[in-house]
Amino acid sequence: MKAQTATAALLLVIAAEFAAFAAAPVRLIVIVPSSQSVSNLSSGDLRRIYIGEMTRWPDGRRIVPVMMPARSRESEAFLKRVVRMSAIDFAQEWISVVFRGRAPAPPMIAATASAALDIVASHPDAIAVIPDVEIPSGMRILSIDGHAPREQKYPLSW
Amino acid sequence: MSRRPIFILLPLLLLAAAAHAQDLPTPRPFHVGGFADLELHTTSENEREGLDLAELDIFSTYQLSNAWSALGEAVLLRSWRDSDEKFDADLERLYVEYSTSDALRVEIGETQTGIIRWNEREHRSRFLQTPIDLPAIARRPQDDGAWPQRFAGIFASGRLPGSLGVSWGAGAGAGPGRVRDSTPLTSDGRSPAALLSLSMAPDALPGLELAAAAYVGKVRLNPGYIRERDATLSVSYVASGNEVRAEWARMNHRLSSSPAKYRTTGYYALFSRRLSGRAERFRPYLLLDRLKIAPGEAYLSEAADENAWATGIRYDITQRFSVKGEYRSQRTVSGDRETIFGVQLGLSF
Repeated sequence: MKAQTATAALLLVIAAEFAAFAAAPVRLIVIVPSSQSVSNLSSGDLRRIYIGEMTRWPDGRRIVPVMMPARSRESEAFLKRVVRMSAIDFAQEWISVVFRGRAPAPPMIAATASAALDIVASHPDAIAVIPDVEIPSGMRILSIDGHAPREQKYPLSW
Repeated sequence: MSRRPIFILLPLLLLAAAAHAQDLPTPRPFHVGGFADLELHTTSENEREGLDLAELDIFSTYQLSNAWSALGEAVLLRSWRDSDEKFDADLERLYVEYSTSDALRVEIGETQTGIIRWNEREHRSRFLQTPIDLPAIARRPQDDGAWPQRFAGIFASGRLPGSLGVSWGAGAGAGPGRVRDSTPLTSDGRSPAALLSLSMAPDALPGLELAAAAYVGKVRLNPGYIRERDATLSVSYVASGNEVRAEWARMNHRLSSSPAKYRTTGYYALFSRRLSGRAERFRPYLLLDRLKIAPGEAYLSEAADENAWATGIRYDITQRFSVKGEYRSQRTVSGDRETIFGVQLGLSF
């Protein structure tokens, strides 16, 4: 009887943990070097950047998109809600983008938010979609569709 | 026949290379990539079975500066279809591009007409497309396709800022000549051509694209010429695992030597959906494919009508390696229905 109770309790704990993980809110921020003149992007243009249809900053430089690994929780949410592709479709879309000569390479993958910050710090044309973390000086958090990350209508919060 | 093992081994070697090519992508000026695929078919008539197509598509891009880049693409194809062994090596694209803005991109060299949207998106790669075969209107002239695919000249395109996602394209140069799979540039064979395209991908419905394109050409026959007027309309919706692509195309030909007019029309519709959860590597699909060649037109004598449907499933073993199985039913020249079972291994490296 004790064993059954313990098993049931364990299953409940696992289920609760799983539910908490699945339901945990995700908020992403979009960062660029502060040398970039852009301060706001539409969610449509953010999608275009990450499917290789928008490849240039207003000053003509090539955009270097950066993201977390496709199987990370943040990227899964970003791909599903903004790009609207699965990880496989996203990877194959970028094979097509490079093949068509639209962009020289797929987005750079940063293993952690800290690694993404390092790339943005060292690359003046980078843009990164990362979890909501504190950013160092020299970078800017972009508004999306005119909304800052803490606003209620911010579109990258689920 | 002695080359067959080479074509079997080559994709396997490339597969091994691709397995090592999973490093983090970083911006670099020089990129070499490609696709390889093998196709095996058997028909209800038992006229042919086994390996019947092997293709290797290699491309390279070079970022010369922030504004200038170059792209080259070549295709090697070995076919055993219809008991007619064929080896084909073609330069598909070779151009330099100048661009400092998404609103204007200029390509100079040999590129594709883009009159058929399928080719504009997929170019040559069978790996990137969902079904095994190309729709009939997208086939290359070398494969008995009807629409002009190659274009040598200058092509400008761009995307206008705004939530409607309007893109445009315009080009002028030389199109296919008397021999439909070549674009002669000499003064006696040059066939002037121009094309225009317009598309829209509104933010309000991510994944939707509506497009129209027009192509005008003067195909020099020596003696005489054909005046060509082509138009296509297409719609696609690719988002959240769904893929719907449909395109209608019309080609009008008028001979300079007679009042005869020829009209060729065709369309396709493709529906596919990536399954979810544990089955996300599977993508079942359905393709409807029609082509009606203008009766009696000598210039398109090698092209044949198509009335087919196909259903199959694509399985992505990895992001760069897929296998497809397909059942296809098509009407033969004699009017009977022929069924074809096909398998294709596709690879990107």
